[in-house]
Amino acid sequence: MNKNNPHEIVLEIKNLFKKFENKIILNDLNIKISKGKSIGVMGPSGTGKSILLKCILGLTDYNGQILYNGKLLERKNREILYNNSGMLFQGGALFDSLNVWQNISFKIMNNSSAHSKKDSILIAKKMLNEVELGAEIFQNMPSELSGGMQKRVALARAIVNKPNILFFDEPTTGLDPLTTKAINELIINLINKKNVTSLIISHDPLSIQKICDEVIFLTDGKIEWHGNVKEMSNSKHKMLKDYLNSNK
Amino acid sequence: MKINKQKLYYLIPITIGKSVSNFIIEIGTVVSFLLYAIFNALIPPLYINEYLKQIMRVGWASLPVVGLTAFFTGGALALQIYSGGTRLNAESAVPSIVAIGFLRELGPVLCGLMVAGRVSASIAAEIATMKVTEQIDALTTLGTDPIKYLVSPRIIVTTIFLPILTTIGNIIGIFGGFLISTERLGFNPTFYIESSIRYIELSDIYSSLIKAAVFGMIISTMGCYFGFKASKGALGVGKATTDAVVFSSILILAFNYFLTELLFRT
Ligand SMILES: Nc1ncnc2c1ncn2[C@@H]1O[C@H](COP(=O)(O)OP(=O)(O)OP(=O)(O)O)[C@@H](O)[C@H]1O
Ligand SMILES: [Mg+2]
Repeated sequence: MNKNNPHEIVLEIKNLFKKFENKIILNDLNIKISKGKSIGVMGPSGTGKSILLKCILGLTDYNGQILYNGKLLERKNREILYNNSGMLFQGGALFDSLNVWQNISFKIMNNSSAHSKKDSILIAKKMLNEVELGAEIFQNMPSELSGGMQKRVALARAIVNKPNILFFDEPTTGLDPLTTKAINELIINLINKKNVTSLIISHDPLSIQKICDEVIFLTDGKIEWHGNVKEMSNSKHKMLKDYLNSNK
Repeated sequence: MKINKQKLYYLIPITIGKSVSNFIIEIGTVVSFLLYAIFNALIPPLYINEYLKQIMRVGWASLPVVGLTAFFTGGALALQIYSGGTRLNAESAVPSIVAIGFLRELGPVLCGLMVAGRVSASIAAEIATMKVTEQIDALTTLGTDPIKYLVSPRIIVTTIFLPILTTIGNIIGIFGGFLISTERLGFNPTFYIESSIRYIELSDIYSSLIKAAVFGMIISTMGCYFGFKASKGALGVGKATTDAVVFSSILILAFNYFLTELLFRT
């Protein structure tokens, strides 16, 4: 990481604490993500990976500081972050009362620079193409799509406004190996082609190895291991080794 | 286990105090939720489409339920007042009592309770499902305020449309009474209509509308609030739905009493 050039750091998390009632979930996390880099977050179930994303996105209370491009983000005022980021939720989180194109174009239709309906449909079809889905499903409802298709539509929705930072919460969990591969490739393409910064939560070391530059291994709300993705598989760290082996 | 009496004396006031303060905090939360939704409804972007959807769902789709309940209740009311009235030789009071009873009480309360069962439940279930499946979080990350997008249209539309639905219910209910009275009880139609209208005052009509608007606000606020409060899982959605219907029904009946005190105190 480039410590001498603070302007290159897109997202910085300082002394992040999160607790529910008396249970501490995140315990003094410090993370920096440089521009164009991709960080993978791994760790056992229930260690607070999803909560970490929720804190960054201001979807829950926390203690500590989160900075975006050097600007401190307030809990209720994250417009700069929302305008420049995209988030892929663990379950897709498509709006089930809206059809595919309305989902994809939601952001560009409901914001100040409102696009017309015609433009929005066109853009949605283009996005469908980008995530390798046929444009003919643009009027389907999310309930009519398979899980893998929903994830792709959700990905299209997350990248519609050309964000410069992307968050993924288990983008491939629950998908078959072929779809997993396809989605991983889509993500790699996006990140490389558009020089997007990203934070990816995943249980799949193979995906992480393919996509990410750095890895954070989280256990019980603490960073247990942090390093380059190439060092991960050779690491002597016991917990990380156990985790990687159990995944094989 | 041996119960420590001394400890019990401490515990009782502490528990009562805690639940009272939690209750007051909850009321405060609901009120600020409602106010936030109303004030934000006025600031653009306005999400007109969401309002149109709610109009169809709350206004149009509730008509059959409200109409049918009002019709049968109007008929039953006429029969009851007639059979009770014969004991006092007061059968001629049927038309005016049906009309006044419907406008002041039955119309808004029936309509409120029926719509509470339908609309409050479906709002709570919909929003709770969105919460549980992270759709509400998705709205936020797409730069849209979920309360402004989801709650404001539901509260505004229900508050405006319940008086309209109630007025339609009043007309159908009074007509139900008219039909039973003239067809079954042998009332003269002209006499019936004349004596219905003679005793109706303007205050009966506007009190009906005020009550209905308050009930509409209660129904939608409860649906939205419990939907947003829902905890994870299908259980959370079920609980949100039940809570919304139970609390809106109780609040409708309670507010009905206080509004009656307020509007008809002489
Ligand atoms: N609303 C809540 N109230 C109380 N505890 C919660 C709440 N949400 C999450 N938790 C707790 O926080 C911890 C971390 O949850 P989180 O969803 O971040 O796990 P995760 O690391 O994403 O797990 P997974 O890999 O299974 O998705 C869990 O132990 C969970 O029980
Ligand atoms: Mg998770």
